[in-house]
Amino acid sequence: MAARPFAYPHPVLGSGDDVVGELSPLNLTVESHADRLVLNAGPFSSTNPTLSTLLEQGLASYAIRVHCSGTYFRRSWTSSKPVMQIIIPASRLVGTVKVRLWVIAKTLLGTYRPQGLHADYGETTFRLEDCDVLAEGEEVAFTADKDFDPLAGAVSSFMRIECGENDTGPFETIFDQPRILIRLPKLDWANYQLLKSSAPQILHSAIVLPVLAEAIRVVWDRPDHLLDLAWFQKVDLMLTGAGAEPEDPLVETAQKLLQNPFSRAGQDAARLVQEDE
Amino acid sequence: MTRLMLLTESAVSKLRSELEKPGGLAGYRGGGFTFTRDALLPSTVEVSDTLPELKSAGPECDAPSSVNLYRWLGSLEEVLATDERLWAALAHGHFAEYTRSRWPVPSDDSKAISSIRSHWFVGGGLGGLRRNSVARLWWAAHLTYAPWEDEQDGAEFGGLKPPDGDPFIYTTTLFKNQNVYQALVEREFGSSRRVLIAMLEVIRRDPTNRATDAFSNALGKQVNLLSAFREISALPVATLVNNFEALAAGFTRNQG
Repeated sequence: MAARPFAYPHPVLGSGDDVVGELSPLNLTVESHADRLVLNAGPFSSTNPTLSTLLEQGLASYAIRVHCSGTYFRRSWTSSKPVMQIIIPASRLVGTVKVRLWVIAKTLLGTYRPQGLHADYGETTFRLEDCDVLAEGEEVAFTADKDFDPLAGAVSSFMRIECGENDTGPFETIFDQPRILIRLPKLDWANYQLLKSSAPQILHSAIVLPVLAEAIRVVWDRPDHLLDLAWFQKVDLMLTGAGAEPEDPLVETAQKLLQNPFSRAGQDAARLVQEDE
Repeated sequence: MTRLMLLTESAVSKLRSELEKPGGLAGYRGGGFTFTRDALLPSTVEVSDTLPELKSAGPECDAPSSVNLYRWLGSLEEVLATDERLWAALAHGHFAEYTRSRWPVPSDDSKAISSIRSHWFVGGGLGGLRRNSVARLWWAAHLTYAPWEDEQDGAEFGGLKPPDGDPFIYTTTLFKNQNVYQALVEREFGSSRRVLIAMLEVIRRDPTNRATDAFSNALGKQVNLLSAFREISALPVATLVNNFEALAAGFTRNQG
């Protein structure tokens, strides 16, 4: 069902034929990083001379509203400049995020009467208050993906294990994707499934620990083609948080990030042995 | 401290599908739930071994329960706090007795299923989090906790900090009346922290007359109208409070 058009109490550019002119599109691009989303919008412009003048004089401003119904996030940013960059922590947005452009009054406009006003308004002038809408712009929606599963623990949020093509042999590691991909041989896959449910901590020592050590080496090397990948940024953040240095031994650093996985693996293994007995 | 265990997605899905099977309501009406090892997922959330006290005697207990739960769970990341696996695990696990007591399961089976879907699981949209027995308590505290400590807007809220510094002053206001939560938080503008806190500040100033169904409904409607032609979430907090006070004065005059 189409939304019912809203009748503003004053003339608004973009609302029917209230006012002659146009507001440019939002021109939004969204960069997704491990810890933040960067929204770049603009350049904006208005073809209505009154609005253009108010913007130049600082009596009006562009406003961008970001609304994520999934996380109760709603916030507006204003600027007199025709481009805006907005940085939002990734932890605050999930699912559909709506972004809308407006032009709003930045002060009391006691006798507002834009050029190109529809003839039906006659000689009427309008008293507008701070933040009253002067122009309706484009609304764009994007999806904030939960690339990293925040509930699944730090590691499984950026590593994925799947069944490979080979029947036997060493497992493969692929680092040039958003998540590190580990491909197990088919014959090992079944055992992996068994361990995953009955003794998951053993997997941390057997698979995750060596792969993470290798990932840490890649992060310290900082190859250009991997810098923007989500797993790279996540591991980089974890290393910073742990106070790790490039000269630290890789396996020790990996164990630190995993909080001593062998201790837990040992407990899982001991339990399995006891269950067998 | 212990690591909070969650339900896996498939475990939540199984619970939901079993609701309509014969005997599917038994665990909700009494007893409890036990989960196999593979139905549980260790989370990154660490909590105290001592469970918080969640009182279920009635709506008047929601504010202290909300405060106790928030102190126990802490300030989770918002994305995490929308996850059904978390809230379904808490409703079916640690707080099953609380959920059963606060939201009694109707004797009629079809009404029971509807009630359980609302309060033991998380449905869609903002309403889903507001209806889950545990999520609603956490989100109420999270949205209202010490706004003057907000990283971005904290300074703007500074004038609202009470002399005793109570960080939960607006959580208490939010639960003064059940309708306040619904009228304010479940509307789109209620997602703006500035707008929500400004509305709660207006109610806090005169709870006897304002923490009522009539006032919260009227305020919600007026702010909804205002937000249609004014970008209110861009207004300073002090201006919002003044604007909403003017609306409140208008209601009083009309009632007189």
